[in-house]
This record gives sequence, structure tokens and C-alpha cells, in this order.
Amino acid sequence: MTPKYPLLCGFQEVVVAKDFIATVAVSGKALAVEEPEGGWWIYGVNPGGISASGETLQAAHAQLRETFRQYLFDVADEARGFDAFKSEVHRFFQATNQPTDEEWKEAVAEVRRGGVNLADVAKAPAESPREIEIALVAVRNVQAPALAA
Amino acid sequence: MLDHCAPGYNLRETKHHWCVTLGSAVYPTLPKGPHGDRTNPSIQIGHIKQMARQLSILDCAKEFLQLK
Repeated sequence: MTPKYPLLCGFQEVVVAKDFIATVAVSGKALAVEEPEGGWWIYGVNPGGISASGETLQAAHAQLRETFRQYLFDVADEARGFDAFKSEVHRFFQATNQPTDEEWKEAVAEVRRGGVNLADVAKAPAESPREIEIALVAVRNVQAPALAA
Repeated sequence: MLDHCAPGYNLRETKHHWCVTLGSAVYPTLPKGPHGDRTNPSIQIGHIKQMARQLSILDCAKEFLQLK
């Protein structure tokens, strides 16, 4: 049976867009899978629309963070202002991946039975609140250069 | 696979990813370009599996792509 590990992941990013600067702090859920043929995958639960792989768990986690960062900049690039950015990123975070969530819960039960463990990873209550905080840091007013006359 | 399993889907390119939408479900982080290392495609299939879960088309995707 492929080992599966329920993770609680926290990231914080600063997003610099055309017309605003924001911070995004996310406490999410994800499922890590150690593939039998080698390598690791991490599948998002909240947010559910994301996944990443790597040769090690740490590498997969770093790739997950990078993918999330790229997603934020994709949204910031297209959003018409901070409110639109905030709304879209909230929607992304709240979109639970239901099948992965079911596997995540099964994996939590397996950890509690002592069936799986990650030696170098701290444990935290599975019921810890999962949330996202998006804060406006500054409104940017970047104008095209003008010729002084 | 999307044509077969997700009729009506929308595929939109962003700076870093493909954003796939089916109804109200969205998968905005599908990798672009060569889709990772094509010499080792099995390790990249995870993106497809996760997208299929998010779009609720997993059973069809598994059958279409003959995934385990």
C-alpha cells in the first residue's frame, strides 16, 4: 500500500501587483504520497486546485509553495484591483478537493493508529483551523513617465 | 482527455499555468509547456489526477488514460 501522509501547510507570500501590494497567509491541508517507484507528490485539499512533486518530501513541498506563489502572481496579473484579487484567491482556497479530502481523513486516522509517521515532521492537531488571510499593504500609483515641460 | 471527459470545459492560459474550468470547478495550476520531464511521464501524471479529482471527472479520466 502506498504510504500517505496528511499535512498541514502554512505559507506566507508578498504579492506585488500593478496597482497594489498584498500579503497572503495561508494555513492549508494537503496529502503527501510517497510513490512506490520513487519520488513524492503533494496534493492540495484546501486549496484543492494544486499539486506538486519532487524527489523528496521537502522538494515536493518547496515546489508546492512555488506553484502557489506563481498562482498568486497569475491572479494578481489579471485582477482589476485588490478586491478582485482577494475574492479570487479566497475562492481558490475554499474550493476543497473532495476525493483528496477523503484520503486526507483516512491518512489522519492511520497516523492516529500509529500506522504511518514522518520522523522529521512535527505533529499538530488535525482539527487546527484552516484559513487564509489576505491583507492590503499598499495601493500603488505607478504612472508612465511624463516629459517635464 | 478533457474533450472526452469534460465537455464544455474552458482552457485559459495564464503567465505560469493553464487554468481549466468546468462549470463552477476550477483547476488553475496545470503546468504549461513541456509538462515536466517527458522522459519520466509517470511522475507528472499526478497533476492530471489532481485536476480530474477537482473537476469531478476522475472515473472517466482513469478509464480514458488507463490510470491505476
